[in-house]
Amino acid sequence: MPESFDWFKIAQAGFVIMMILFIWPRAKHMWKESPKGSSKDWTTYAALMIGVVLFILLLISMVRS
Amino acid sequence: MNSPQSVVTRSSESILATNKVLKNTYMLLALTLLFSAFTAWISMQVMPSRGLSLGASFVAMGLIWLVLPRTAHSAIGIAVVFAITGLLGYSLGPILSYYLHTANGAQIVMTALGGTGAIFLALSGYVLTTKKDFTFMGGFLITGLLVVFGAMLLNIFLNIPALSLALSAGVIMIMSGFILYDTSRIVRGGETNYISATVSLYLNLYNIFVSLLQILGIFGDD
Repeated sequence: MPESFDWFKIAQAGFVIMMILFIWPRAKHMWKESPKGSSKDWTTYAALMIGVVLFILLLISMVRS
Repeated sequence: MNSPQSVVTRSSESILATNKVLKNTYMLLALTLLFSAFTAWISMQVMPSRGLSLGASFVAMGLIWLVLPRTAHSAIGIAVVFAITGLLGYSLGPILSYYLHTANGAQIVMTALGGTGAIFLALSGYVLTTKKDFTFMGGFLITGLLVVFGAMLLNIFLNIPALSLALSAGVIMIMSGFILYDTSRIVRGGETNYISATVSLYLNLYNIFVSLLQILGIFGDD
């Protein structure tokens, strides 16, 4: 039923807005308090994330085969 | 001024406390994951409506925001963690049921489950063995999370499949970063409460699992 479907979307949107409102104060705190990372730190993080991406690509190839 | 002996004693006490938080966190995390799987199974039998499933997530988020901060330092906090993870597991029932009724659904669900576990073990294990500090990523990760939420909000109404796929990939990247960040905080003594540490790690795992399920569901569907 299209009308109830719209209500479900509004409820979903309300849920996401609630999460943004909840996270906002924590975000402000984290922006202020987070220490700065060196370029070596960011390189390590990037390497780990590349590893995660490659692993997901492997999983995708597994479910496609 | 502290004598070298008192510094050494305090340092070893601090390490012991950190190890205790780590041990309790992983133990509670394992138990909550099992409980979550149990409530997801119940949900698959009961087949709640999408509204009830979303309602379970609403209540779980309400418990995280309003009840957990007040109870995290008491025994009631453990019951609250089980309530949160049980409700989130229950909300997964319809989506799991949907995938399990597709042609290679069981393979997709099991691959997503195994993949989530492998990502968590690899990233958490990396922090535990190297003791590297990833707390510098806090601001970056929370910014990414807010951007994802904003795009998610738009996509609820726009319903663009490519954006949905990109958001799932983004959530996996951000939650993987949060695994590094949260584990780092426990290891370095920034997080001393195992109840809130468990909820943080559980949410990382939950979001990776749901997003991975969506990605594998899209690519695994002929």
